[in-house]
Formats: sequence, C-alpha cells, structure tokens
Amino acid sequence: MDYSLVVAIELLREVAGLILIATGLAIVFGMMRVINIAHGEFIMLGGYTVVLTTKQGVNIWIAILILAPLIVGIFGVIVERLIIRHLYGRIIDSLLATWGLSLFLIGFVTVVFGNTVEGVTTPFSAIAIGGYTVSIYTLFLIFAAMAVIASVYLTLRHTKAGLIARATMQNPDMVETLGINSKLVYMATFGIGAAFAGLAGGLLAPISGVVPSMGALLIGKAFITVVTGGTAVVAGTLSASSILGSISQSVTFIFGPVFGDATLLFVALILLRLLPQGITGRIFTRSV
Amino acid sequence: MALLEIHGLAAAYGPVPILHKIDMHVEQGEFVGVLGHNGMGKTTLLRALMGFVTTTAGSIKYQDKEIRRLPTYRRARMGMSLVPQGREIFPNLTVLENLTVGILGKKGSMDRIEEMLEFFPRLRPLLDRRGGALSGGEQQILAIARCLCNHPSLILLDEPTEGVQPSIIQEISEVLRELRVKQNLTIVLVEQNLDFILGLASRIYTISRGVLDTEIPIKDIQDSAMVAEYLGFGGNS
Repeated sequence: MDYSLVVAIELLREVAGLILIATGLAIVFGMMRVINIAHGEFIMLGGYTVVLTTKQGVNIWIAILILAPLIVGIFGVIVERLIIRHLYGRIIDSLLATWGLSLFLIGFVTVVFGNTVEGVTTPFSAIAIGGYTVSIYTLFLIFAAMAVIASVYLTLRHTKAGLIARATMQNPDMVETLGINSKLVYMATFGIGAAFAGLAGGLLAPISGVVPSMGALLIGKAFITVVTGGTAVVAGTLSASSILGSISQSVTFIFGPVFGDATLLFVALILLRLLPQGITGRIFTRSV
Repeated sequence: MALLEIHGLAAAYGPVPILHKIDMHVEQGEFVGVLGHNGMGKTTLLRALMGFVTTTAGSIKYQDKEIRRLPTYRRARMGMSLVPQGREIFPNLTVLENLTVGILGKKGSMDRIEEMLEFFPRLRPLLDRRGGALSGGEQQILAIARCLCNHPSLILLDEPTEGVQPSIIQEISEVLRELRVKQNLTIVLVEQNLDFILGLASRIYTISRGVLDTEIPIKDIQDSAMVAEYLGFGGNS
C-alpha cells in the first residue's frame, strides 16, 4: 500500500514535470504555430534567476514564483520584438532562428557563470509514508503543475484576454478587422509562454540544480510532449503529459531512466503515427 | 466631403498586379454597389481597403485622412469594417463569443449584443452553439451582427449571398435596408448577384480586370438589361 502510494507520487511527479516544461512551449506553438527551440534555455534562465537572486538574500518563494517568470517573461517579449515577429508563418525559419538563440544563450551563460552546476537548497523537508520518505517539495511540484494548467484553462475559457487569444489563434485577420491588434496579442502570448518557461525553471532549480546546458535535456521532452498533444494548449499538454509521463516513469522504475526516456520517445512515435495532428487533432478537438 | 475617396489605387499579390486603377467615392449614408464577375478584383478591392493586400499606388482617404498605409486594426478603430467573403466566423467559438469579440475590439458595451439580437432574432436560440456548426445563412447573419457589434460607420460587404439559401438572402436584404437607416451606416456591397444589389444600392460601379472607373447612371439601374450591358453579362444573370 505504502509502496504503491510512493509509486503513484513518482508517476505524478514525472507528469507534473512534463506539464511544467511543456506548457509555455504549448502556448506559443498552439497560439502562434511557432516552435521555440530556445524554450529550454528560457527554462535555464528561470533557474539561474532563482539561484542568483536567492544568493543575494531574496526569499526563495519570491524568486521562484515571481522573479523567475517575470524576468524570463520580459526577456521573451524582447526576443519576440527582435526576432520572432519577423518570422511568423515561417515555421522552419523560426525554428532555426530560435535554435541560434538557444546556442547563444548557452554560450553566454557559460561564459558569465561557468559550466558548473549551481544549486539552491530545496525548501520543505521530507515526510515519511510507511517505510518510505517523500520530499514535500515533490508534492508541491505536483500541485504547482495542476495550478499552472488550471490557470491557463481558466484564463482561456473565462476571461476577455483569453477570448481574444482564442479568436486570434483561429483567425488573426478577422480579429484585426474587428479592431484588435493581433501583433500585440502575439507579443503578449510569447511573453506569457516565456514566463511559464521561467516559472518551470524556477520550480525545477531546487531539485535538479542549474547548469548552462540544462535546456538541451528539457527541450526534447517538452517538444515531444507538445507535438504529441497537438494544438489545443490545455487538453493537449494534459493528455500528452499524462500518457508519456506515466508510461516513461513506469519503465524507469523497472528498467532504469535510460529505458524510461527511450520509451517516452517510442510511445510518442507511435502516437504521432496514429494521430499525426497530435492527440487533440483527433480527440478533444473542440477543447482549448 | 466624401466618407471614402479612392484615387488611382493599384494593388498586387506579391509580383502579380490585381488592381490597376480604382477610382470611386462613397458619401456618408450611401449604399454603394460594386458589380463584377469572378476574378475581376472585387474581393481584392475590399481587402485592399481594409489593409490586407499590399497597395502599390494611389490613395485611400477615409474621413479625409489618408489611410493607405495604416494597419488593419487602426482602420477598424476608425470605423471601417469588413464582412469578408466566406464569412470567417471563428469556428470554435460560440455564437455569443463571436459577438463578444466584436465588442472587445473597441471595448464597447455588452448591451450592444442585446441590441443586435433584437435585429437578428434568429441568432438568439443559437447563442451557445459553435460558430462552425451554423448553416451558411446563419453564419452570414452572425458575421454581419458581429461586425455591427464593433460599431462601424462604414461596412464593406463581400458577397453576402454566396452559398446562402434564398429565404435568408431576403432576410439579409431587409435587415440591411433597415439598419442603414436606423444606425446611420454607409455600406459598400460587392456582389455578382444582380437582383440583390439592385434591390439595395443607390449607386453602382462596375469593376472589370482590376479597373473600376465606370458608374452606372441611376436612371439605368432599374433596367436590368442595361446593367447587364455594362457588365457584358449578356443577360444571363
């Protein structure tokens, strides 16, 4: 009983991790059909924001929940203004440009902070479940992922900004005809996507530490999750993270992490063969 | 002063010129028709006026301001609006959400939706339906209502009868006539449905191969045979 509870928590942690790293990318891809290859580096910048500000004595919660998304969000808006806005509708070009940005950011951070792992102390201690211990921070991560997905859903479904975002996603020309500046919507969307990446980096920093090259490990998983999920931001991220996360973590338990990651890619491959438009291209097509 | 004044306008899709020379003017409160066959540049003309097509020469003056280089949303905020061909309903938004987007563009009041439902009672039972699930005629009515939610003063209508059942064409025609008077609207209607345009427009231009410079004299408008002559329809309309 205790063991199955611990296993369930571990599965949820993997699902939560995928949700956190994929949400920002899913927002940008779903809304704008732009794949931001530098998304992993945005996450890395969020992590560094937390490490550097807590070293300066900033409260860790303020660093994770406010500063990381804020700073990376602002950085995202700058990137959108300088690079992305010239490349809308050119998916390959935007992919290459953001790849270049990704390499630049890795190099830049390595030069400034060095190629070493920096860490922050994990907040909270651990609790015992029977003979096992589970970090409370793990439970917090699961909660945070649920909060992230719920806030995206509520914003898209029940606010004016969300309605404008959904309308722009479906038909940017028509939105312009009604007096809405679609370019401003895109800029804000990209900034929000970047802010979620920053938040993910901040949340993950205490457990994985930060290193300039960490984004490369994350972008693959995030990318696969988003593509598998399809263009519906909430339903896609939620369904793809759940399927891929639980299967890969189950395999990790039995055969180890290498097989777990390989299985994640293998399952994604099968899903995309069966559902080329992603899960939400066939199922949940009307969801957000 | 004309509400809309166009001189020597030319436009192109990339390297392909579509409009060569457009000269027309629209007075405040007028209902102006533009007749033309498929492929003569009717839709391109309206899209150029709204800012979706690159214009290469000439001028577009709206309320005496040159707007040829303004982005679409700025033109919309000045009171221009387009009900596009194919209607362009947001398919995954409900009817109510479609109307609300019309409101949000100018931060208008939600009361406007109620006002529109009075004009278009047909939409009331459909409010929770997805836009994509409506029939062609219902979508056309929704597109017009959504446009009106945005409080335009000039409406550009692109073939509102295309793919719409005759009973609804009749309804649209009546509502447009009523709206123009009650809301003090100016309307430019582009059509190839001769009867529809004759029933509404007070002046008609013809467009042919990207050139618009001929106005059909008012005395000839009621004479279908004469209109057909101008277009070279050969009376097969």
